[in-house]
Amino acid sequence: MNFAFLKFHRHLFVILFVVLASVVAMTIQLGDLKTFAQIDFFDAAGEGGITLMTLLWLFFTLISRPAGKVTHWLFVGLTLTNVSMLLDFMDEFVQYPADSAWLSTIESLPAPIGMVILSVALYQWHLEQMTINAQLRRTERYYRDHSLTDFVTGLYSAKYMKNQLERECTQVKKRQSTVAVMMIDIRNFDCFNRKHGDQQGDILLREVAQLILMNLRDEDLACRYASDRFVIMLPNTTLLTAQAMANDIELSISNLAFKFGPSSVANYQHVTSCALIFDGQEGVDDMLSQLNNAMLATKHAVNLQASA
Amino acid sequence: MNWFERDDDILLCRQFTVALVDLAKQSGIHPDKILKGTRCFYNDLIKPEYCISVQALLVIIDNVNKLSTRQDLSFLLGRKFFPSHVGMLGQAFLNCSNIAQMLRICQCFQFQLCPFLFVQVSKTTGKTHLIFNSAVGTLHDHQQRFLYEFMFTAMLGALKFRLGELVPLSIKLPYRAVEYTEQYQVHWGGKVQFDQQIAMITIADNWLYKPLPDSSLPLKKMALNEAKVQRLTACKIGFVQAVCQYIKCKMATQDISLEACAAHFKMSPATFKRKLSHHQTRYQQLLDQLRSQHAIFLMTENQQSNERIASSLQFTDLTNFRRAFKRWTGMTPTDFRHKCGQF
Repeated sequence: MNFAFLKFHRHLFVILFVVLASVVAMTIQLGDLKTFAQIDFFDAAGEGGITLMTLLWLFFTLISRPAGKVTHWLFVGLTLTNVSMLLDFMDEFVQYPADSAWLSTIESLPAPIGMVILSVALYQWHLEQMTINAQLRRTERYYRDHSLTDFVTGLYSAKYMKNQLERECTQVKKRQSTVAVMMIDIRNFDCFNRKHGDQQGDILLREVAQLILMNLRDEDLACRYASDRFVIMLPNTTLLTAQAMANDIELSISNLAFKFGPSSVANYQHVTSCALIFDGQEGVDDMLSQLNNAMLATKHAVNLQASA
Repeated sequence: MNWFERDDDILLCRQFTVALVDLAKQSGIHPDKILKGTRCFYNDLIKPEYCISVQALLVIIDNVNKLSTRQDLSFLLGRKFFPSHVGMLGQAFLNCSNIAQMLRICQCFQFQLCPFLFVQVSKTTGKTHLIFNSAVGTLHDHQQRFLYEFMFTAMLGALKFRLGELVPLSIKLPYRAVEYTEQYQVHWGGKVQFDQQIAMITIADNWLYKPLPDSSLPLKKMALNEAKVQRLTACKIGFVQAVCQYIKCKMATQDISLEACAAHFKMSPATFKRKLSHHQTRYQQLLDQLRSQHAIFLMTENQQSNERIASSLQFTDLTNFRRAFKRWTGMTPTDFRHKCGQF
């Protein structure tokens, strides 16, 4: 687990601690402790469990979110719910004298308020997620699985692409249309890595990935295939359009003035691209190995041209 | 004693482990977790001539396999291997005038370059075949995958480096197809076949003898001389490799009983068996593995008849050979030929 977000929420943890501590202190102050025989441990275990669970949800919410309005709403909602649960739990251990009986009447009050606030917060979260989804277009289609993202570029990995291609193929067969698949390979990436180190290589990969995304349409999907190779799926596209788009990407990457760390010297990289078109009859592995062969042939031709 | 065992400290860390630990560290795994169970620490690894055992390397591979979801670590490691991780030999490789010379250096300096896998070179018309086997006994599936991915990427990377592009090769692997075939396609390029009961790289001779640009014989000699001086202090082969080589060279005509082999290594049969079981293997297992490989090679590359193969393996009759082949591969020779013919 990554606890990087925790440091933004120190004040929230202080508030939570103060609230929970004062609830416990107040109940003990106002009520009398039950004798051992009076405690229903079965009930206590159940209610204690619920209290712990809500605390756990609160914890996971806080470690996964940066500070902000939505986070605050979620925090307030969950804390109020938790206070109710805690009061209920303390009930099992203390008995209130007649003049403090109001405590047990209001103990269920924070929960509904908290849940209303939580619902508002979740709606806000939904709006926020929609904005983030809009930023994710071209890297994600219909389906989310964080375990398939590529560590270096932030794009999805080859496995995600295979799943999506499979899905697209069934669609293509139904509609009797075609899907174009493009492959992009950075030229002399080994050489670049050897000269400038792997870390710079990783940065280059990330920037090339961003540049590829900028050149795509909203319904396209780009993934990192392996090493310095990217695969892009272009639904409903003719071969000519795909080749034109591949050309655009080649052009824009060759104009990227890549900088190493603080140095201001521009370094220009070139990529090789190839595109093929499929009608959904082949299997996904077959499609990808055809594409790889096409890439090998293109690279061979480019090398010949360079040496001639 | 010119062989080493699994837990002898013979692997130079700066060559085989530091890069791996660093790569894993970059993907967010703490070095201590990777080194767990090896009884060494990150600070030990970076001492200049620190060595660990093959067993420790296998433990590291286990840990990486368990802790990392990345499938490209072995490939990245292989890509880094040449020319910077091989010391003086890198200079020698860079000045070879063709691939065949590079291959020769690989064989002479196997201990320095690849002590855990050994290669046997076979020729058929116009082609050269490199057959690989473990020099350190039986490996688990993921250990085997990791080492083959690592070493093959390093070799093919060296070829690509010297020739300027990926060479058309055909590669056979003994293990089952993996999910991440894209790594194989991108890093190896050539035709890769899985589940072939043999680990083999086949290269056409015209590539092997194609003159390489930018090579210098004197520089290569100088580099090799220096490497040879270093080699004087340590040049061993894995114990299992020594046994395999013994079997291979006597397989066709001589006595290859366990007793004869143990006597060759100047051990009692009991000690010999114990040493092999220490490497997770048995004599019969090695015998089966090498004979099945021999048969498969002759069948697929030389198209030899069952009779000839059987006699070259000291089988007295064909029925016995067929039965043995079925035991080794799960298929009769006819079925096997049929399956290979489909490719």
